[in-house]
Amino acid sequence: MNYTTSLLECLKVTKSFGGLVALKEVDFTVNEGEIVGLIGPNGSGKTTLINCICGFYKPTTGEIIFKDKKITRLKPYHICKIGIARTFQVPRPFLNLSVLENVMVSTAGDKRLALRCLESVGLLEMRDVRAKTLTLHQTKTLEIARALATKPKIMLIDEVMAGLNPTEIDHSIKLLKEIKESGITLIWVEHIMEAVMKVAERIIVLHEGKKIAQGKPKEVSNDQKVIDAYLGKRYVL
Amino acid sequence: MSPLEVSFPFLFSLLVTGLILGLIYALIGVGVTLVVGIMGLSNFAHGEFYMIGAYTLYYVASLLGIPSILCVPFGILSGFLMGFAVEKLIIRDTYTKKLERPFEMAMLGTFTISIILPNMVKELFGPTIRSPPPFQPGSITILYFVTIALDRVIALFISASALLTLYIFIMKTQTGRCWRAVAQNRIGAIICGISIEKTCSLAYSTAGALAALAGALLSPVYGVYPHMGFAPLTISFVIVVIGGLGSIEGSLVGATIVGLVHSLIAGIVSPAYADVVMYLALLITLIFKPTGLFGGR
Repeated sequence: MNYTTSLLECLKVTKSFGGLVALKEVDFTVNEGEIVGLIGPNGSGKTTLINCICGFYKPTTGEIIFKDKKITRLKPYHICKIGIARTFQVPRPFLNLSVLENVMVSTAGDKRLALRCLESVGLLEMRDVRAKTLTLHQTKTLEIARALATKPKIMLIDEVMAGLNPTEIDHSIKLLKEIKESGITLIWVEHIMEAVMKVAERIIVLHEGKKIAQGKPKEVSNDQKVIDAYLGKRYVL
Repeated sequence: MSPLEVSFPFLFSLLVTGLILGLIYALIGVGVTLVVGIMGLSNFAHGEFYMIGAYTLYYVASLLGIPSILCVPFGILSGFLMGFAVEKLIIRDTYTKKLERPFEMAMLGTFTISIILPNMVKELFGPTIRSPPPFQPGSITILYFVTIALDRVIALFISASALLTLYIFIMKTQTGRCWRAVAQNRIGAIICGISIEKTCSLAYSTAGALAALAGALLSPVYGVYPHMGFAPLTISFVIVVIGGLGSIEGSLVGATIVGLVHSLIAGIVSPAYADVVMYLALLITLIFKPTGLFGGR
């Protein structure tokens, strides 16, 4: 066990909606500075897990520990303030605010920090247009900038590459690597296997709410349970 | 008076009073817009803030014996505090406790207040209509032939500066930016670290303060009585529907239209028809632009 560097821990996290058990005793640890890929078929509980970590859902049982403190019962804005940011699969921009203002909402009005975040994701020249005029890729990038602007220790990225073309995917991969190099830990939900297998250092596989495998991309992609549940034969590395 | 006999100076003075009235109505309409836009809530208690503002002005003026113009800040404060209390005690639970139908619950809550409060005021202070002394007796003449009561001029300046302050607050400050963010995407705002509780509390209190200001400003003209909040409530809903739900510019335009309609129809035809024409304007808007003049994203 790696007590010194573990940043986020989920202990037997279970979430049920009425009779439906979306997450069943999911245990995992994320170390500081890692990129962890979270994969699994549709409905396997990936987004539910993200929602539990960032406080949108309260786990039915189990605890979530961030920097040695329980955060299971905290409110979402509080969790954001202590250093856990997230993005959504379907972006949630403020459509009628300018790109700069979108980011300034996260920086508590700090314009310089907002401009720096926009520069780091490559949206600086778009700063004065309204968010509703952006393309899907730009909107997703804006969402990353907005998350960066909260100065997170850890970022939860929910399918940032779905619906993008190959050039845009390359740009996103580069961006995630840069974020990681700046010292932010990433938990990354993705369906685009080529990208996850290439970038993530460790992969956790969920299936029907349970963790069925974890390990290095190569180990996971050769795991028989993962192949049966999700990958199929195609992705054997 | 038949419409054909209207003289030009009379018409002009009706236009001026209509514009001033519109500006005061805008205070109420903008409050409803804030609450609808930021909290997604139809606030049926809005008229009661108007009533509280007027009562506070009346009682502070008569008990302390100070000029009523100096009591306007007390009116604003009473609306703000009442808004703070109502949001905290009644509305907050509906959106933090994950109720099954939060908006219906909150709406019924405000509806309850709109029934309890006027009746409580009636028991405590009696049903009679009272009139606070005017802000400043007398009138001024502009353009040689149009005479306006000084009270109206004062109301014009106060409401215009209140609206301008609010506009600058919303467009330029961080809190205002957060208001717009919450109105445009609540979940997006939460992940940016905005506290929905704080935002809703301040927005609701501000809406209450604006309505109370309108009540205080109009009290020397229309009097103070327990059920005085009902008419402004309906007017404010007409304003936001004409202007477009959630649009501040829309409520300004909607309020101007309603103010002009009220003043012109009451002056030329009869006060009895003022509301009829106002609802006609509402119907026409709904037929030709159902999302309101500035609505529809």
